[in-house]
Amino acid sequence: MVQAFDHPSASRDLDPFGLPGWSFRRGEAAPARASSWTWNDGCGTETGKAEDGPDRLVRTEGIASARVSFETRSVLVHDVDPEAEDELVAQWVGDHVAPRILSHLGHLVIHAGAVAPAPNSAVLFVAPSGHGKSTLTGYLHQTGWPLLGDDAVDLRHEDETVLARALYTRLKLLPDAWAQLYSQAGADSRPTGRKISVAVGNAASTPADLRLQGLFFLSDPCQAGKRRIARLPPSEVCIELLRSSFALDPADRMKAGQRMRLASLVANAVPGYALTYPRTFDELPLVRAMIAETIGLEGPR
Amino acid sequence: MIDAYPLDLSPSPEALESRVGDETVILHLGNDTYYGLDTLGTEIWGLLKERVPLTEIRDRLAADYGVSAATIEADMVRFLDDLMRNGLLVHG
Repeated sequence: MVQAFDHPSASRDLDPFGLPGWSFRRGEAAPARASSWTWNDGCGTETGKAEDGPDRLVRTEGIASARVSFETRSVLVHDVDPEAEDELVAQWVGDHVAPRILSHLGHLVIHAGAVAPAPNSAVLFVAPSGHGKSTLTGYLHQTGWPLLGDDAVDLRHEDETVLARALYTRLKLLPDAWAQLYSQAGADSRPTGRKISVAVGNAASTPADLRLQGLFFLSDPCQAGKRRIARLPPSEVCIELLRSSFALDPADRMKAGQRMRLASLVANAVPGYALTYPRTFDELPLVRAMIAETIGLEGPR
Repeated sequence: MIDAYPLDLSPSPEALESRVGDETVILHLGNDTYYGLDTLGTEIWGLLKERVPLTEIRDRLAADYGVSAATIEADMVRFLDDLMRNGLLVHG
């Protein structure tokens, strides 16, 4: 049985995953055999090529598998883990499958949190899972900077300007961060997997494409020392962007070349910084002030 | 020291590069690892791609930067060893 795939982000019903013209279905499928699998995110998500045709495959242990057809512009989600709630599966499509499809179509899609500290401008926080990205992004949202997204951000270079568009507008927090930031806020919060998904009130009212003002790369929390921000050379910014970018087939030379060219353009056009701070909630107001000063805004309210 | 390196060293076909200002970012497709080259590294990499002999690269850079051939050679040895260790420079 095949059914239309419902996405919980109601404000983007017509284009729920940032892929206009694509259909997303959930149903049964023959076991997806891959001619090759490539583990590429270190967090349990595999991508591969279908053995029986040109389709691409994505699967994450404990959630689901997806068969992606670029010919018919369709995604079939199947082999859903019995323990995986619908919300978790929808989020997985939004933050694991759709970004990889966009990347394959020539976009540079970064795993990052995004907020808008000033009208029509965005800053990104880039870090692997578990490095405090969502907590910092949630704190900045709670203290007045509209949240654009928490996972996948599509970057475009136009006329010497870089535009950022978040693909997924819910915030996913670990329980301790949620308790600190959102338990009193009355936000629509739902447990999904080991995290709590929070509907963000002001995301839908923010323009889709914002000028990217700065990139902040969060240090490893295990090595975080004194609070500081250091400007990075463009080549390091480029490498960090590429390491954080989504890819459906990392070994595809042409696609990798496209990502590298886009990352080079972004790195040359937008300042990038290494952000180091102790991971305690008490630090966050000071970190916010430091970020505001770095991008030329006033300090905390 | 430079003389000890094989004469047929060249950038790996699995290396993909992009210029970022005066520097270069290289992706090794085989291991999905990125490397950054500074200005001097970018210059040496460019000359390696043109198959310029190592001794000529050394002498050219020594003249351009106004330093001794021995100084440049020491930097080149470290750089070449890094490239070879990471599979970015291969025989052929």
